[in-house]
Amino acid sequence: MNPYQMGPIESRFADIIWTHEPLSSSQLAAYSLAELGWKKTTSYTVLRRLCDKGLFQNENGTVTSRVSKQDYAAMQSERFVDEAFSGSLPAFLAAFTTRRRLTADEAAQLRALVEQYEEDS
Amino acid sequence: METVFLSVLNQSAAASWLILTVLLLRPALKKAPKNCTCVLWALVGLRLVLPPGLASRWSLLPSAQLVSPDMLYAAAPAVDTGVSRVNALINPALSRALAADGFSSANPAQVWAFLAGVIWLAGLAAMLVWAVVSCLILRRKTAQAVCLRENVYLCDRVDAPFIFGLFRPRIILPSDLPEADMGPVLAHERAHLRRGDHVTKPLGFLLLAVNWFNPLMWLAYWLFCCDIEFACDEAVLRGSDAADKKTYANALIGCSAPRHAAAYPLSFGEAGVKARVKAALHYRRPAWWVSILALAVCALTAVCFLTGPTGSVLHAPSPDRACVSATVESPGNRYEMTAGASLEYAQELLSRVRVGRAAISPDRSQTRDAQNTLTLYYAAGSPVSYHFNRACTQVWVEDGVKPTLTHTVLNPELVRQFFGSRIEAPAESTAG
Repeated sequence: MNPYQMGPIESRFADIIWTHEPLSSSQLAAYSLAELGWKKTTSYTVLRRLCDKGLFQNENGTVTSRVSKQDYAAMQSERFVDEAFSGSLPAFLAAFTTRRRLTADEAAQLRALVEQYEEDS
Repeated sequence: METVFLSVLNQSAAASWLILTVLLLRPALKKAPKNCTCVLWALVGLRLVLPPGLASRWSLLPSAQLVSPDMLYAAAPAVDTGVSRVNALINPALSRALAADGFSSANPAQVWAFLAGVIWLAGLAAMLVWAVVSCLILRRKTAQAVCLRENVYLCDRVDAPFIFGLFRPRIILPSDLPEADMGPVLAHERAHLRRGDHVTKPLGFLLLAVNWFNPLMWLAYWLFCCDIEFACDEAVLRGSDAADKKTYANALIGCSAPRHAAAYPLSFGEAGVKARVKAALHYRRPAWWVSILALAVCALTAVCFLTGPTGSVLHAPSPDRACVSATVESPGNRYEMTAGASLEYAQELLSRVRVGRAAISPDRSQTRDAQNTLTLYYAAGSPVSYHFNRACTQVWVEDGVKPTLTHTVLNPELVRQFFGSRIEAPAESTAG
């Protein structure tokens, strides 16, 4: 369960912040207008909602993130594997690779990740 | 203000007869294009808005006017539903309850009409406020929508696809709408825009708000909303094959579980999904003669209900009965007519008076209101007296055999001019 769950459009808005942070709220409004076609009031409303959720913070007009994009992506992927594969990562990978073979590069990356994990724990 | 409310009431009553007819016709028109049913609902809308005007022989409306404005000042207030039995049920009690008592300066009928008018306005205001508030809430949600292309927008915070906006309508789609459903949904919403439903549905709601007190209106509005959805489904499926129909039906099912479907204007998954899925899967283009027949039914309905009743003739001059003289009695006035132009005019006038077919009340007594009386004396046989009330809106006839029941006069101005009588202000009227 991801407490910070965002819809697809909110995610695009969050992307703007993650890409350009730290930025002022008026700059954010300008980016939102350019990319999403939103009025200033709309940007501020959505920003306030995301701040209330705990994802971002707006201090003295400067917007920064409290949850990084990687952390958010991690929570998203965890949620997906939980919902679709009852939390089993092997099951997910098996399903993923039935339609797509792993390239040598990807296999090497995965092996490095597992080794890293085994070293750390 | 009472007159405004009374005219709304009268229009609503007339439209109710039409709504009942449409309710009967709808099942019969099942095989016909749904556009025909929508035309019928448009007729209901017209009936509510058009002032009562044209009268014709083919009118199926039982009564020209449920409540005449004169009722407020009458000594014995009565309504004309167009059905004698209903009149007999309501009017005696109504007259007793609302009869002017001569003590207060305003008739009870006026007081009640005023109160009813106030309640009506309050209901209308409440409905308009609800509409405005819903609109503002939706507007806030759609502000956070992002344009996909042209007038199609994606929005996180909505559950169902719908159309928003009157002059520059936008199709709003939930951002998690599956790819497979997008084609059918967009086709359906575009059909709505082509048909102008984003304008007619709010207009229908406005009419509902004005006639909120009529339960038939609520039924009519709900069925109207269902029918425009069916009509859009048909417009999309017109040239489709079986595979397209299945895709469409799947999209309907997929979009059918939103929480607040009714809150969205022209929402895709709104009205009666099961019926729509069945209709979509079994849709077959109607035969050409069915469409023609359905259009004919619509035209006939228009003629029968958009025109008012002509009523019956009060007096048909019989050539074998020579009228020798007449007396005219009205408050403060009494004179006689002997053979000549004025006598002929009196007879000719009588033959132009038209009366409603239904009797107002079961009362046959001779103590009824007869403030304006025209009596014709014949060479042979007893005289015939035509008794009109003060405002000349009701008449009963005494022909020496048996007094008739009271009937509404459909063209009272004609009679009023003859008697020189006027509707008097409440301060002057008395119980008599």
